[in-house]
Amino acid sequence: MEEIIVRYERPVAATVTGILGFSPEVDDIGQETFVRFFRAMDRFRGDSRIGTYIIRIAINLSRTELKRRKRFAAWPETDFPDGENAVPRPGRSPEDDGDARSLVRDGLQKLEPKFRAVLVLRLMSGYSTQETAKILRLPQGTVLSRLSRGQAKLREIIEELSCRQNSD
Amino acid sequence: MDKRLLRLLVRSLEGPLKKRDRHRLDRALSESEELRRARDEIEAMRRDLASGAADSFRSGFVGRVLAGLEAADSEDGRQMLFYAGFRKVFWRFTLAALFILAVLISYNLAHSELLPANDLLYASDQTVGEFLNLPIF
Repeated sequence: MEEIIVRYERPVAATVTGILGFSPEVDDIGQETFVRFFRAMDRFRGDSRIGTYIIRIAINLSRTELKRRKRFAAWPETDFPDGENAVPRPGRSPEDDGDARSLVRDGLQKLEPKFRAVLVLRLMSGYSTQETAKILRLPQGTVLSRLSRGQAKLREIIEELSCRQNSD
Repeated sequence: MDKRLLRLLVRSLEGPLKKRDRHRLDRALSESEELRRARDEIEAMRRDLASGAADSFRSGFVGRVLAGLEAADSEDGRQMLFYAGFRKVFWRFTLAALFILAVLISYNLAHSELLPANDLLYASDQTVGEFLNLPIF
C-alpha cells in the first residue's frame, strides 16, 4: 500500500495542483484519491494501468471540486498563501512571485477545464499524449488538438496577464 | 498569425511531423520572426509548466492516507454492524407482525358477523354456473 502511495504521489500531486491550483483542498483530494483507489481495488479489473486508474480518480475528484467552487460563488483565489495546509511549491521563493512561472500558473487556472486537464497531464504530470488520451478517455487526435489549442490560449492569457501586470 | 501554423508548431513539439508538414513549418519559421517568437514562448511555457508541477503533498502524506483508510474501514465496520443488527430486528419484527396479523384475521373470521367464515368461501349456484360456462372449459 505504502509503496503505491509513494510511487504515485508525485503524478497525483502534479495533476491535482495543476487543475485546482495550490489551494488547501488539494491535500485532502490527494488523500481521498488514494483512499478511494484502495477501497475500490477489488473492482479494479486490470484493463488499465494502476497509474491510469489512480489519476482518473484524481481528475474526477478535482472536477467535482471545481464544480463545488463554481456552485459556491464562482472561483475564489486559486493561489493561496502558504500555510499549514499548503502543498509545497517547487523551487518557490518570495522573488518568484510575479515571475514567468507564476504567470503560467495563474494563466493555467484561467484556462477552460477541458484544455487545462490535457495540459496538466501532458506537460505537468509528464504523461505521453497516448497515456493522456487513455486517462481522459479521449481519442489521441482530440488530445493533440486540445493540447495545441490549449497552449495557444494559455499563451494569449499569459500575454494578457503580463500586460495587466506591467500596467499596474 | 496563421493558427494552423501555430498548431503545427505545437504538434512538432509532440513528435515527428509528416515530411510535407515539417517542410512547411521549417519554411514558415525561417520566414516569420513572429512564429519564431511564438515557438520560443511556447517552449518556455512548457518548461515553466513542467518545472512548476508539485512534486509531493504536505509531508506525512502517506501516514494521512493510511489513517484515512483506517477511518474509512472502521466506518464501514460500524455501518455493517448497524445493518446486520437492523436486518435481524427487521425479520423478527416482520415475523411477529405476520403472526399477530394471522391471529387477528382468524379471530375476526371466527367471531365477526360481518364476514362469517362460511360466507368467505361461498359462491352461489349462478356464479358457479357462469364460471363453468366460460369458453375456457
